Amino acid sequence: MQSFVSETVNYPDQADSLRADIRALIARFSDHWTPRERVNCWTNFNPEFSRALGEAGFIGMIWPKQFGGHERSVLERYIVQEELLAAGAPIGAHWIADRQSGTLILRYGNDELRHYWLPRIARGEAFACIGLSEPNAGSDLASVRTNARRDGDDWVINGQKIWTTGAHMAHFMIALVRTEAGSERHQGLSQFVIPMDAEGVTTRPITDLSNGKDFNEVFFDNVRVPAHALLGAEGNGWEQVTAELAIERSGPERYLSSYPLYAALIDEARTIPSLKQLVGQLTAQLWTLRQMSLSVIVKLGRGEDPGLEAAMVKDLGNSFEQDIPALVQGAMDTPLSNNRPVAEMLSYLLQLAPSFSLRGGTREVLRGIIARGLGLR
Amino acid sequence: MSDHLLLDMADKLFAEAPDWSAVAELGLPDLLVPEAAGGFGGTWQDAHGVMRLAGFHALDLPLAETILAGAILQRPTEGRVALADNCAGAVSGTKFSGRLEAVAGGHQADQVLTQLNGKIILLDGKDIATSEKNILLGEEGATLDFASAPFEEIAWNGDLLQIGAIMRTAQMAGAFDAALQMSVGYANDREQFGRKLGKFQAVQQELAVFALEAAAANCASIAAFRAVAQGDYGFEAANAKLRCNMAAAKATRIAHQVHGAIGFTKEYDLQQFTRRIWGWRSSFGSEAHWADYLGDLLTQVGGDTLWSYMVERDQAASTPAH
Repeated sequence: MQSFVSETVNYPDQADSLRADIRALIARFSDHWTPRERVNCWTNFNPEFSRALGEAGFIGMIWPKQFGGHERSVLERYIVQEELLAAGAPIGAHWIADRQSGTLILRYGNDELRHYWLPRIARGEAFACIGLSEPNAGSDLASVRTNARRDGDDWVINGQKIWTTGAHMAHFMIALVRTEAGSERHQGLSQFVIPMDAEGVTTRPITDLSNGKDFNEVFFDNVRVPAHALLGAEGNGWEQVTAELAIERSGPERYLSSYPLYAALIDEARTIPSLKQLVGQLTAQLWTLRQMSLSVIVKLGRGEDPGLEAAMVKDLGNSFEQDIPALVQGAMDTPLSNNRPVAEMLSYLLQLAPSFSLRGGTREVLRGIIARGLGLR
Repeated sequence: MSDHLLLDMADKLFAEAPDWSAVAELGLPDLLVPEAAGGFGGTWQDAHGVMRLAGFHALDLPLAETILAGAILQRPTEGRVALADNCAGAVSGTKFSGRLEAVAGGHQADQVLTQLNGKIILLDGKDIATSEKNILLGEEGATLDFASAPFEEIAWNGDLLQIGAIMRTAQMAGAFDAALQMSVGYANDREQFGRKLGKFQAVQQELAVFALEAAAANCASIAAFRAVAQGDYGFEAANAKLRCNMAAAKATRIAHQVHGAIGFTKEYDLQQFTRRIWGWRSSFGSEAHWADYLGDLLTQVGGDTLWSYMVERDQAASTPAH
């Protein structure tokens, strides 16, 4: 048995110039980013920065040029992503569209969907939200009830999604809905690309415990969409969602959400030597996670489906980024005021950290996937 | 010989609990000695594979240590070489007197390599004055005393603690995977309350955690071996050994919990892995040692430049020299 087969990364020749380019772009904007904005930065909306990234060719990097993409490699895209995350850049506006929604449209979408949405996403102008969870379908996605019924050439959608990050800013949602009346569980599900300005779509914010208003309830009341809004094949929703979740789980954002606090801890340790032990322990975990994450990317780049490895990296990564604020709080003696960057980041992250092992698949679901991969069950 | 053939061969051989002559016949002890010097001429990647398999099969021979000694000596070794990560003693003229503790394979060593005040010294096993087996390491570890023993000073540009730590990560990675395989197998066989243990979610979730730790250890280890060829590998040695050490406590706790009482017996093989893991955790640097090392290093590097420091080192280690 080998628990994880590690892959050697062959960095592209352009890796250095690519890093230099993205760092230069970051430097043009980063003076304005507050400590609080730098942590968990991939949920931080900044359309202006997203447009700048789009203009520079850093969105839709791996998509075909005919759809506005840049035909770069998976590894080049990874380099840009990790540089943005390590810098705490506000990449929330385009993140979901770039990471998964656009990728799904490219993979499963008809030409109308591809030609309309992909160039807009790549320019940093169209943002997406994920329509999976419902009031009675959280981790158990096969319980979705939102439905679509044919009406002439159109589809009419009714139901409700919840915990939809960025729905109030997004231009479209890819929603998992039931297209076969009376179907159960994994059967009869399909995905639709729904414009958020369609008539009958209502978005209502849910305030999170940190006072943030990132996530929402979204209601569909007889929302009419044309036939080409169906993404992929009718009834193929479950298979597509499984692929979507593997994409959603494989990126470097799954271990870097608390990175800026860790970097700040290093500087604190210069004057507080007792923090050095914690710095060392976190560094060993970070360094290892990056190796694991890169390994997943190498497999993705070869066209393999590293769903199990991605689940492993996400679970380990989430625990790491979740532990950081609690460990820093335990090791440091500082008032939780906004007067020092390290305390400001800590105060914010302490509240956000519980969500890290919930979003994108809970810890328990991921461990179930890993157990199955081990041959248990 | 391709990596694949070498590892297949080692895998089969180690599974049969070979004696030293069988291992030596294949040339494995001189894996890292250049061909021109009469060795196997293998790569660090090969060494990782063989050392990992030695851990996976709980090989009761100081093979990993001897392979590493060959890399340092750059000549074929004379029999089994044990490595000591600690050395309390002094040199007087051409003689060494002192004590080396918890030396894995120490009782069966033909030679012993250690580091004293930054110098690598090679001692002869015949000169061991007294040798006492250690409680934890049992047959595998001993305290060695030398009194006015001759030694050879070895010219080598490296740090024994760092390279030894990297060696241990491969053995630990292999032992984690072996103990994980045993634990999963046991959970799938053993029935309690009318169900296989592996059907209980509580057991599944624990084994998943074990798998995560084993996966992290395996990834960390191979990355550290990649860095060795770079020549400057302190950062990677520290990260990899520290991460493997962190995995040790969690992994062994779960392995024993899943096995219940049978895993606590001498007869059952789980202890072959868990006892070695406990020994290796303290060998060539504990968590405290390497966390201190990293803490000192990174406070010099600084929070703002850590990221580029880390990625640039990795890129250098992953890119073959032109």
